[in-house]
Parts: sequence; structure tokens; C-alpha cells
Amino acid sequence: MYRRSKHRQKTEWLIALCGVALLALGNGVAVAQERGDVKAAIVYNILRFVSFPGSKPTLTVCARRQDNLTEGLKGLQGRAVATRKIDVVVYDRLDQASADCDVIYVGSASARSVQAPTRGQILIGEHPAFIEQGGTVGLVNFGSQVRFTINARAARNAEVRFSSQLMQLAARVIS
Amino acid sequence: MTNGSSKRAAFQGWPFRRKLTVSSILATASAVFLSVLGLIGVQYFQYRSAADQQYTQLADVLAGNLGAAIVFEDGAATSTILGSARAVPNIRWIQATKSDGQVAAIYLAPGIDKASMDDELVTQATRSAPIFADRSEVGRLTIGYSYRSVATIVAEILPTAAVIFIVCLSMGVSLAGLLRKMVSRPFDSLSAAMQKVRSSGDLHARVELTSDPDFDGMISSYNEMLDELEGRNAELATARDAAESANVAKSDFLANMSHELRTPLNAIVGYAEVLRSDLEAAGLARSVEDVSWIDSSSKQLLEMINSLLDLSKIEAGRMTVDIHAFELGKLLHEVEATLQPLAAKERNTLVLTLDPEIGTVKSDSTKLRQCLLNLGANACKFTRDGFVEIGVRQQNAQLVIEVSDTGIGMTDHEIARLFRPFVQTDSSTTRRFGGTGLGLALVDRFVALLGGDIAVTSEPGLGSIFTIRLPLLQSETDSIDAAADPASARKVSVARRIAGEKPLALVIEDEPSSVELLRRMLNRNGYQILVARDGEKGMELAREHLPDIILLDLGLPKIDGWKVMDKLGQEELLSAIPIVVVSVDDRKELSIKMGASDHFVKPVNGNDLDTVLELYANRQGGKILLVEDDEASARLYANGLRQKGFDVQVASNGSDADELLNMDRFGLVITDLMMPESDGFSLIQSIGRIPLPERPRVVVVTGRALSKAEQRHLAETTNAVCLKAGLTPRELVSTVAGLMEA
Repeated sequence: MYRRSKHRQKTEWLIALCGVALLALGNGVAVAQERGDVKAAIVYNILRFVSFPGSKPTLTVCARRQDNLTEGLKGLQGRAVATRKIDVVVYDRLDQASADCDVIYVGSASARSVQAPTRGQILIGEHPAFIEQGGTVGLVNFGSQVRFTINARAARNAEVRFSSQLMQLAARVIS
Repeated sequence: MTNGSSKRAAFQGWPFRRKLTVSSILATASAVFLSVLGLIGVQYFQYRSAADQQYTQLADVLAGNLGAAIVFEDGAATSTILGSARAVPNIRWIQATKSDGQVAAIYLAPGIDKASMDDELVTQATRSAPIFADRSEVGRLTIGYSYRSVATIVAEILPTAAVIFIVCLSMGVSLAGLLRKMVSRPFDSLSAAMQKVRSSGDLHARVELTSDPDFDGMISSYNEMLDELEGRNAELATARDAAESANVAKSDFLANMSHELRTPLNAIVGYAEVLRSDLEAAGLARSVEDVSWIDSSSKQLLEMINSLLDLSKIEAGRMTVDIHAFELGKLLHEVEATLQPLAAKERNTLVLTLDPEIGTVKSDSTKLRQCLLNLGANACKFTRDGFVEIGVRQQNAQLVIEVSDTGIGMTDHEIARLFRPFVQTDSSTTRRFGGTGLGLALVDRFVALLGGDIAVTSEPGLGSIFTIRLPLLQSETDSIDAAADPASARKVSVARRIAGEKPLALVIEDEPSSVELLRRMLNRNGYQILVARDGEKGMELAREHLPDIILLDLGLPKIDGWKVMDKLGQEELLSAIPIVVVSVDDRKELSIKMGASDHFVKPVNGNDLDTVLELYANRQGGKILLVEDDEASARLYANGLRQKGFDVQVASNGSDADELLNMDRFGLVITDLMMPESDGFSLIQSIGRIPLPERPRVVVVTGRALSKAEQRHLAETTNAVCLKAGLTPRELVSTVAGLMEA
């Protein structure tokens, strides 16, 4: 009984472990999805406090298909920012992003891997040193919290104006 | 209530100026106080409105900064932004809520907790503002605050208010002073003008108009009143002048009439006297009695005329009082002597009692004598087989003289009519007792003139008591040394003329009857007589014959007696002749001043004139030193003494007299007591040191009241003391002549 049960015990442990692993895997996917939505909401909120030059009716947000956040960003399609409506454009590669993009989400890639933002463009990325690399807004994880950093110089160069309220809330601002 | 009315009464009792000052200051203080209250009120409401505005703006500003923090749900940032308003005063709390009503953050001021946020005492007002992000409302910000309290505002305003209050009050006080000056200037000038008018009686004083119509009205009324007063005064003055001239005319008439009446009476009285002595000498007893009737009746008539004249003088206010020191006892004895025959006539016993403590007194002896004679005569007249008593005593610094009788007495009704002139108790009295009814009226007026009063108590059938009370001006009790009595000088020797030649008298008199009367008296005294009917003739005869004496009437044709005296005094030879005035004019003092040796009012008493005639019937020699500081008196006495033949030297004080005494030998020294430098007492002392055979006799002439001790001292150290009051040169000469002969 004991031997049989010992064997069965091992089996049971394995099954349980697999179960937990499956559960954990399943749970991890859900958490990643949730975090992507939060970041998309953050991006949206950031855009509410940014003034872009010109008076286009749409605000074009470009993202790579492969990035986790892209799905979340897609959710912003059609939402209004001031008088403009958000149009989400998805590319396979970053170099495909055109000059029409007002916002380019580069994911965890380095800011140097893309072209420097032109007039009226901002770069949003999640690389730890994104703004130092010349990116405009970096999304940073602080434990469970997602904060953002701002490169005021890059914004100024692109003639994009960030609200002072936004600057106040930024985890770090470089100029 | 009582307190309030007493305060009101006290305020009403204040002087106008104080009222004005206090009212102005109170008005200013009230105005300032109300202004400060108003200021506090305005300030409070302004603060409220400003606070509402300020907190609305603050809410807007905070809400404007909160958009991002709310959107990003950044609670810490939201709290920081809310907390940034912590320095703004009176904020109780600030709350930020999201659009779904969830509270994003709350700021609570120190001491405030969540539970008390809705407390109205903590939160007096709230202001809220929407929080926008990207033009959409993402939340709402609410501020709870309180207003500044009135006490805080008062505490803030108080120092400034106090300064303003003090400044305004000072200005109020200055303004009150200015107002007071503005108001008081016209009042003061009006009051000064009134004072001037009142004190000086000058109705010409007018108050100048000011530029203020209100005051000018008052001033004009006052000036008009003065105009009216002036006008009325002028009318009154005219009326008064008319009345005065009528009065003068009346007085002149009375004076003339009395002169006209007295002149023939003088002759009747004089001749009756002469006739009686002639008839007595002839032994015609029956005729003597008849002539006595003429004598007494004419004297009675003369008395009535004198009384009438006195009364009219008193009524006209022309009666003068001559207050001087005299011996009361002597006066009373004279009165007694006069009344004795009257008392004896009705078989009355006349009793005289005099308080021995009373010696000399100060009053008008002539008027007092008249009073006593009138009262005494009345008492004797209305009493039969009874007692008449004149008692004099001293009581409470008053001289009390009582004249009592056991006569017919009077009823109250009669007493009430007693002192009215021309009124007797009833008309039958005149028929029964005679008299003019003037006696008591004169007594009443005389007593009033002497500063006293008279009272009467009487019972019909039992008698009457008349009480005179006079102020006792002096009550030296010792009687004056006998030597001081000028009457004692009458014991002088009979005139002796050298070589048997009779002395010569010049009579200047226009009335033949008077001339004849004087002629008889002069003859009786062994004089030769020259008569001049007017002043001019009198002067001529005097120059021609240098008579030993001149008997002078005053009312004379051509040159009157006064001018004659003046002219005689101016000529050296003639000034040495003694002048004796014999006139109906009773201004004795004036004639003595003019240089007369004596003055007799007609009808002249034979004995009095005999004394004078006897005195000047011969001349005496001897050196006399007259020490007198009063120049007029010295001249008067020296002249009188020279007229008697004495060699007189005058010194004006004791030390000059001492010098003269050292240089020369004098038979007699006449000295005053009160003199500058060395007085009479020290002079008498130094004379006392002169060895006896050479020591001159001393006569004191003084106007001073003497104490008993002084009287005793003078009695021991001098030969005679004469009282200056009423002392004629002739009386002094009489005294001196007696001493020089002794």
C-alpha cells in the first residue's frame, strides 16, 4: 500500500505540478493581456495631454504587429483625442512606418533602431533607456505599476507640446 | 429717572461755552465711532465677497492642474496639488472627486477631520470647479472654507481706528475751540459793552457789528436799546434839571425868607432882652413880665423858623453832619439847664442819668443837642406833676439815649403818625399844648443823619419812652481835663487898656436894629464904636482907624461880608485885627476858614459876645511857638494869636520845634500830637527837660481820639488840651490868653 501509494504519490505530484504550471501559464497570458490594456490606456491618456502641430483630422498611431501592446493599441481605434480621431496602423517591421505616423510605438526596441522622429512625431517605447536613446516617451514598470518618462528635448525638436500636468506626473523628464 | 434729570439739570447749569465744547466733542466722537462701526461692517462684507472670489479662483486653478493627476489616477500627485493650497488662509478642506463620484484625494487643514467637514461651524462656505482633461470633465474639485470673523477684523482695524479716533477727536477739540471763539467773540464784545455801560453809565458805548447776520441782529437790538435808553435818559435829565432848578428856586426862596424873617426877629429878641434888663433896673416888675412874653414868644417864633429851615434843608439833602469828638456829659448838662425851667413850669421832676463810663463821644453835638432838647421839651410839655428822665447808657457798641416821661402817653395810631412833619397826635394838641409839629420830625431826620434810629413805646395815660440808638464811634470814658475846656478860658482877666483909652470896635452892619443892639453890647463892655453900613465903607474905616475888633455881618450891600474878610486878610495891617462874624448865615466853618476869629448866628447870645469883646479889649505880649504840620490850621491859629498881640513862630514838626526852642525862649508852646518825623509826645517830653523857670507852658491841640492813659499823661505834662474839631481861633486865643496871664 505504501509502495503503491508512494508511486501514486509521485504521479499525483507531477499531475499537480503540471496542473499548476498550466494554470500559471494560462494565468500569465491573462496578466500579459491585462498589462497591455493598461499600457494602451496610458498611451491614450498621454496622447490626451499632447498637442501635435498641424490640424489633421486623424491621429495616426503606428505599431509592429509582433508587439504585445499592439492588440491593446488597436482598441484605441476611432477614439477621440481633442478634435482628432485615432487611427491605428499596424506594420510588420518598424522601417515600414511612414512619415504619416504621428505616434510610433517601437515596443522594447531601442530608439536608435528607428529613424529619429520628424516634425509632429513622437516615439513611444519600452526599452529601459528609451528616452536617453532619443525616444520621446518611455513606458517603465515600477513593480506592478506602469509609469512613463518623457524626453522634453525630443518633443521640442518634433514641435510637439506636452502638458505641464503630464510632465508633473512623469517618473522622469529629461530635457 | 432722577439721576437722568439731575444730569440734565447739571448740563443746563453749565456755562454756554462749556456746553458748546462738550457738545462739539461728543458729536465728533459719535461720528467717528459710527464711522468706525460702518468701516468694520463694510470691511466684513468686502472680506466675504473677496473670499468667495478668491476661493473660486483657487478652485479653478487647482482644478486646472488636477486633470492629468485624475486621469492617471495618481493619488499622490493629486494630494500634492491639493496640499499646495495649505498656505491659503481659512481653508478647511479641499476634495477632488472623479467623474464617477469616487474621491480621488482630500486635503484637511490642521485640526479638521473628515467627520467635521459638513459642520457649518467649521465650513461656512464651499466653492467647486470641474476638472477637465482633453476638454472632457474628468472630476470635480471642492474647497470648504470659513470667513474671517468680525473679531479678527476689529482686532485688525482697532489700531488704525484708534489713531483715526484720536486724530478726529483732536480735530473736534480744535474745532470746538474755534467755534467757541467764533461764537464768544460777539458775545464777549456785547458783554464788555454791557459791562462798560453798567460800570461807567456811559450810554454812548456801542457794539460793533460782525459779519454774522445772526449776531448782528442781537447786537443791533442791543444798540437800539441803548439808543432808546439814551433818548429816555436825555428826557429824564431834562425833567431832572427842571425839577432841580425848581428845587433850587425853592431853596433860595426858603433861604431868603428865613433871612428876611430872622432879621426883624433878631431885633425883636435883642431889644426885648435889652428892654427887660432896663425895666428890671428900673424896678418895673409888671412891664418886665410883659416884655418877657414878647421875649419868649419871639424866641419861640425864631425856633419855629429855624426848624422849618432845617427841615427844608434835610428834605433838599443839603443838611451836612459835622462829626467831632465832644464831652457828652457837658452837653447833657447844657440840655438839662435849658429844660429845667420847662420841667418846673409843669411841676415835673427832671432827672438826668449818665453812664459814668461814657466820656467823650464822636457825633454831631449840635444835632444831638437839638434832638435831646426837642424830645425833652416834648416830655416836659406833655407831663404834669410827673417825672421826665433822660438816661444815657452804652449798649453793644451803641449809644442808647432814653427820654422817658410819665405824661399823657400815646395810642398806636398816634405813634404811627408821630414822625411825620406838621402832624401832631391830634389837632386839639396844637390848641392845648402849642408847637408846630416839626420837633419830632426833625429828631427823626437828625437821628437818621447821625446813622442811628429812634423807637417809641407808649401807653396812653402812663407815659412814653423815646429811645435813640446811635453808633458809638468813640467811647473814651475819662472826662477831659478841665484845662482842656475852652470855656475855662472865660476866666481871663478883664480888659485893661493902656492910658485909659477905650478899645475901638468897628461894626459893619446894614441893619439898623442890629447895629443898635451891638452898640449896646459894645458899650456895656467899654468899647468905642464905629459903624459902617456897607462893606466898602467898612474897609475904609478899618484902614483909617485900625480898630481893635471888627464885628462883621455877611449880607451887606456893595461888598458882602465874605469879600470884606478876604480883603482884610490881604492887607497886613488889617489882617492883625480880629474879625467876629455876627450874621443870620450859619456857615461857621467857612467863615473861620476865611479868617474870622469867631462866628455867631443871630440872634447872638449876649454872654457869648461879652466873652469875645472882653478878650479882644486889650492886647497881650509874649512869645508863642506853634507846632502844627497842617499849613491851613497853622495859618489860622497863628493869625488868631497875632491878633491878640502874641509873637508867634511856627514849626511844622517836632524836630524843627526843638531847634527853635534851643535858639529862643518861648512863653508857651502850642503843639499838635500827630506830626511827621518827631511827634507831639516827644516834643512834650523834650520840653519837660527844659529847666523850670525857662520852661514854656504847653497847650495841645489835637484831632486825635485820646486813650485814658494818654489823657492822664497829657494832664500831667501839659497845661491844656484842646480838641481840634470846631475849635475857633478865638477859643484857642482865650485858652492861651488865660495861661499867658497866669
